[in-house]
Amino acid sequence: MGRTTAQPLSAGDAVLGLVIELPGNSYQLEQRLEGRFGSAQFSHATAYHALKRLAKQGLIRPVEDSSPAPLSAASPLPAPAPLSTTSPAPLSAAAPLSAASADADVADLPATAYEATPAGIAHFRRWLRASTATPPLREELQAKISFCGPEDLPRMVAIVREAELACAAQLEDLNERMRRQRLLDRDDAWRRLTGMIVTAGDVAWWDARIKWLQTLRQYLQREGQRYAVERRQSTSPPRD
Amino acid sequence: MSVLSLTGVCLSFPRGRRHVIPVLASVTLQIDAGETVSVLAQRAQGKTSLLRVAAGMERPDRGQVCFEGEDLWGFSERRRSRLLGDQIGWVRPVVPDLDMPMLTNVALPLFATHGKSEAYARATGALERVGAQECAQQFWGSLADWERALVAIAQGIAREPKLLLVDDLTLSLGLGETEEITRLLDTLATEQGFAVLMSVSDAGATGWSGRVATLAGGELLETPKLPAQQGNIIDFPGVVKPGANDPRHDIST
Repeated sequence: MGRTTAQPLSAGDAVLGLVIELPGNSYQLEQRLEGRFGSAQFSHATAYHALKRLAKQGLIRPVEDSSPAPLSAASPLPAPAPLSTTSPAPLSAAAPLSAASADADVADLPATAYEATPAGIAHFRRWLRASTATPPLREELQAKISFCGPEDLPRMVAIVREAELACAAQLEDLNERMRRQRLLDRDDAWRRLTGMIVTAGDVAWWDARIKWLQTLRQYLQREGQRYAVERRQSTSPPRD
Repeated sequence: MSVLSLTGVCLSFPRGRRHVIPVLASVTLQIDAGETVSVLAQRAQGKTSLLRVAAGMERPDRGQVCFEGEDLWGFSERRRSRLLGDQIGWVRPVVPDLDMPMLTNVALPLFATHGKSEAYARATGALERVGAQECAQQFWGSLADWERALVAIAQGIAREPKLLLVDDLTLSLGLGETEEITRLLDTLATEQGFAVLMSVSDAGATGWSGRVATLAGGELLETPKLPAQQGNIIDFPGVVKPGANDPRHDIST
């Protein structure tokens, strides 16, 4: 039987891809990670820890001389390097650092800018071209509903309402990130196109979830009202 | 002051003597000038009814509908009708009643209030602003869905409204076209300072709206707005942000 489930997007893969596009320090990468994959809701300092891990694995290394081009988090990003096999690697073919020396370098100037090593680029290409499986659906709300009783319905309706509001807020955040990203990608047609497709994927997720929550809320509300009426009728004294 | 303000609006449609179809239940919503609000709802959830209430075309059972702070239902029938033809624009891509070039179609509703030449001038300007000047001499049947949406927007903005009501305009459009249309509406709202209330049945069509509300079972849900935060208030370990506290940026040392 084929593999049907997969782990969600790993922060390491995402950060490595961003470093290959453009070297940067942990603060800049944190900002870019949020801008590009905000819906993944990586926790704060994710990029920092991912950079440490990637450097330890020899997939990235500190930029030896980053002084000529100080990277500002606010500056627009230049066009990313293409990742096709036919185009040259965006970085020089220097040997990857050993794990030990990378670890020593990482320990650590916090604002150190990192670039990918050839090993990192090869690793990323393998990841990019590997098959992608469907992530598992582990939905807490579904589990709660499967265990709730009729007396829990009002609370379930409130929970679903909160979830719907949270989704709408996520959609607003996504729209805001998309606006910012579109401004950065203004002059890069390819990045604009992939950005639009990725955003559409995020939006489709929130759209489906909001619609499911809306249907669920109405259904639970109706059942809650029916149950309340039934309970009133069963507890009220019979008329003579 | 809000351009549009709905407070506790309830609406239902009676069906016979005993049955009532509830549509809106205590809906409250405020929209300021230059703001774009999307209402995301599935089919038959009261999207169009909400817009009709906002336009003063449908009288709510309860609650208040205010346009620029004045109760719409305190207006005379004549004043309310003039408001709809003048300050409230209605956008939906429906087949026009008369088969004529799009320029005439956009200008026609303005003939009575602005005169013929002024109406044509406004229609031409509106078609140019939405980038549909090439559709001016085309007929409805020869337009693509995307162009029909642009012409519908031109018709809505030709009267230079303070409030634009957009009813599921992007329903038949693709991904890129939907983004272009929502971006255009947002740009027009910001530049010309009118408020936009649009109903959408797909989250993708909320793309450039500053605010997203959801509507189901008559209930309109919207996240309350908190005051905007300046910058990132959470520090993460080992990270030095570019700024005054960074010694590398201190020119005095």
